[in-house]
Amino acid sequence: MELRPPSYFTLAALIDGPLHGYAIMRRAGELSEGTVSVSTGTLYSIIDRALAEGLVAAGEPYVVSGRERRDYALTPAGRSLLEEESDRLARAARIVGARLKATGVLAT
Amino acid sequence: MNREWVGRTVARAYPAEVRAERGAELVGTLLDAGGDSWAAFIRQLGSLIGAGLAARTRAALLQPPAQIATCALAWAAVMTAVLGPVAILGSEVRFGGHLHFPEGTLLTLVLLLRVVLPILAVVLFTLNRIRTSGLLGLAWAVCRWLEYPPRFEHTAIAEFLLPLVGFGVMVLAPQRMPVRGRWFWLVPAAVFAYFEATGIGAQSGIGYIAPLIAALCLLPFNPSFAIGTTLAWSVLGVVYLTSSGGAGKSTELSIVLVSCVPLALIAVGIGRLRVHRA
Repeated sequence: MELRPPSYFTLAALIDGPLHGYAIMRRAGELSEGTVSVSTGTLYSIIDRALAEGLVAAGEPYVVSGRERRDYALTPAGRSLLEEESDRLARAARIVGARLKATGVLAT
Repeated sequence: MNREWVGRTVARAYPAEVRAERGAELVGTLLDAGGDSWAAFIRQLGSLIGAGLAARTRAALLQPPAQIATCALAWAAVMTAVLGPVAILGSEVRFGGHLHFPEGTLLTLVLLLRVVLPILAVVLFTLNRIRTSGLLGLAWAVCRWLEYPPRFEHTAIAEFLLPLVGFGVMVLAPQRMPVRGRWFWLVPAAVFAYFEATGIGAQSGIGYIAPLIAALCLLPFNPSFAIGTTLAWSVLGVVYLTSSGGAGKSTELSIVLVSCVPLALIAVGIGRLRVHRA
C-alpha cells in the first residue's frame, strides 16, 4: 500500500510515541522539514482511515486548558506499514539517484 | 466573534455520529492550529468544512444499495406530493388569485385533495412521522386517482403507481427511511416555486430542469433524495412526451427530464466506486 506524503508524515509523527491532534500536525511539519503541512480537516481524515485500518489506536479523551484532546499511538501494523513505505521510497530514491549519477558521468 | 462558537458551528459539516464521538476534540485541535492569526484560523476552518462534507458524502454513498433504492422510492413519492401544491400555489401567485378550482363546497374538497393532503404528508415526513405521512400520502394518491382516473396507459404507471409504491414503502417499512436530510425537498421545491411564480423559463423548460439540477447537486449528501427527485420529475417527462399539445413542453424537455434518472443512477454508481477505492 502506497502512502501519500501527508499520510506518511502523519503516521511518522507517531514513531516516537503517542501524540494528540495538534501535536501530530506540528510534528509532521517538522519531520517533513516544512514540505508537508497537515491541516485539521486532513489530519482527521487520515486518522479516521488509519483507525479503520488498525494503523493507529486512539486513547481516551482528556481536557487541557478547556480543550478536549485525545492521544493517538502507532500500532505494530502501522509501524510495519511505515517501514515498508520508507524502504520503498529509499529504494526508489537509490534507483533514480544511481541513474542520475550514471547519466551525469556520461554527459560530462 | 467567539472562535469556539465558530468552530462548533463549522464542525456541523461532519456527520452527527462523528460529532458525537470527537466533535469537541475537532474544535480543540482547530483552535490550537488556528493560533492567534485569523488567516490561519480561516484556512483551518476551510479544511474542516471540506473534510466534514467529504465524510458526509462517504457515509451517504456507502449505504447498502437496497437502502438507497427503498429510500429513493419514498423520496419519489414525497417529491410527487411536493410538485402538485407548489405548481398550484406558484400559479396562484403568478396569475393573481385565479385558481382553476370549482366554486362552492367542491372547492374545499378539491383544495383538501390537491393541496392540504400532500402538504401534510410532506410535513409529517419532514418531522419523521414516516408511517403517518405514508398513510396520508396513500390517501392522497388514491383520491387523486379517483378524481382523475388515469388512462390505463404507461402514463398511469408514472402518475399513480410511483406515489402508491413510495408511500406504501413508508407505511410498511418506516424504519428503513432516511434519518437525516428530510428537509432537502425544500431546495428543489423553492427553485420550482420561483420559476412557477415568475413564469421565467416556462417556454424554454428551464423552470422544470432547474429544480432537478438543484436536487442533483445534493446527490453526494443524499443519493436517495436525488434519485427519488429525478424519478418524480421523470413522471412529468413521460406525461409531456405522451400528451399532445402541452404548451412549451417539447420532446427534448421530456427526454431531458426522463434521462436524469439514469444520470443520477450512474453518478451514484461512480460515487460509490470512488469511495470504495479511496
